[in-house]
Amino acid sequence: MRDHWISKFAIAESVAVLTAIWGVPSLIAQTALTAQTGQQGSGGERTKAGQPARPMPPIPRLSDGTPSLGWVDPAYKGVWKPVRLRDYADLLVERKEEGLPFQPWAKALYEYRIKTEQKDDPESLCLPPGGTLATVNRTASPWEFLQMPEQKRIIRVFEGASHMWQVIYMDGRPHPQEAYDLPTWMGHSIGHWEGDTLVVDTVGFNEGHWLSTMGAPRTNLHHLIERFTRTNYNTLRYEATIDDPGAYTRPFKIGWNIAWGYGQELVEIVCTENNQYPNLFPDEDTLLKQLQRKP
Amino acid sequence: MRKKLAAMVVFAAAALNTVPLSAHHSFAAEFDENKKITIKGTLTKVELTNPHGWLYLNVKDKDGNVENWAVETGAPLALLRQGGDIKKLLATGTEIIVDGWLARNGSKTINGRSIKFADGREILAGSSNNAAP
Repeated sequence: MRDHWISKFAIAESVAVLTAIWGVPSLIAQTALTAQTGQQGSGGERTKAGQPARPMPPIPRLSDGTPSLGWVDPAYKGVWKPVRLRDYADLLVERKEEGLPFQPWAKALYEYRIKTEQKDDPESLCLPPGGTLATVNRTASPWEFLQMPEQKRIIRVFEGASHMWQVIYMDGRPHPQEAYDLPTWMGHSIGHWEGDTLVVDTVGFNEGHWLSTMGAPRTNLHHLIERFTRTNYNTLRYEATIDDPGAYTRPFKIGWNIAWGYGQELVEIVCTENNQYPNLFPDEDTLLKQLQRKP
Repeated sequence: MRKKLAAMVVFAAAALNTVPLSAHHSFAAEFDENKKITIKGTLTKVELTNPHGWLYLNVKDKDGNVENWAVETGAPLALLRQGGDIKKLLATGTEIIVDGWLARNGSKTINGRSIKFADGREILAGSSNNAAP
């Protein structure tokens, strides 16, 4: 009995982990991930040997009736787990056959960043990855939503990257002019509920960071609309409409599922404490020669 | 044998699953995945820091000359969660064997794939090379 459980679990766990690390899942991996995350209601968490799985709890609701995107019962505490999804073309939920709608300058820059293995990634210098990076980026994650309905705010706290957080104002305010005049790394976020979906609208991004970890560009015209829906306790459905007329010819929509990490808590990570990347930063000519790519 | 293998996979997978991942950089910009290297030496300095841990070790070359090498690891918790005694083992004076990939810039720097101790036990170094196991 124990033998059987260990090997079944090991396979599901490994495939799910490999999926999370290596990105867009194959059907097999997706099935294993589904099994692990209990999307079909098969179970709420990993078990110790010999013990039956606890059933997946229902999504708790807060005092104002909105769903909790975090936890209420400490027995089911956790965080939203990292994913590793790099190419937004793989994540398109519409018009997938068209690829990402780059403007020519943006396409050229994107290809340069791929050719040079993302050597200029601002995250290598510990700069905060805001926008969709905060959700797709494996190193900003894991993260938590801290919902404060009485204050009409939601704070999102990230473990990795730059010890960063995001404030989502839920009090009906518009984006102020200041958000556009003084753009920031995380932008200015306002949110509201549409049924059980949290909709977050963000503007005022600076141009210090990228749209995707592969190097798709972001400009200060980027307007991001994100939809977070907890479809069951284990699963957060994420969809983002990227509207950046500075770099793209039209808006486009990407989406994926995020898994709950039972029992996990955030630890402190301060990226700037011992970052050696400046010492390992490659000379471009040497890099391209070693990779046998044309300059 | 199958049970042992399965248990190892579970352990490794669980370790990978719950570790903080504190830095994205492109592995390929800094390290050459075609230049696999193995070194054996004695730890002179251990930095359990973010975004990467760093292990420094004195390595004797074939002529007996000593060179100090640097090994980049994943986030410190990625190492420590592979065993309760790892923190004690990763200390000045411990002899280890490291295999990994050489830095592109010609320095004596490795992105570590695994760390083996004198008793034969091997732990994963939490490499940022996502293309390799």
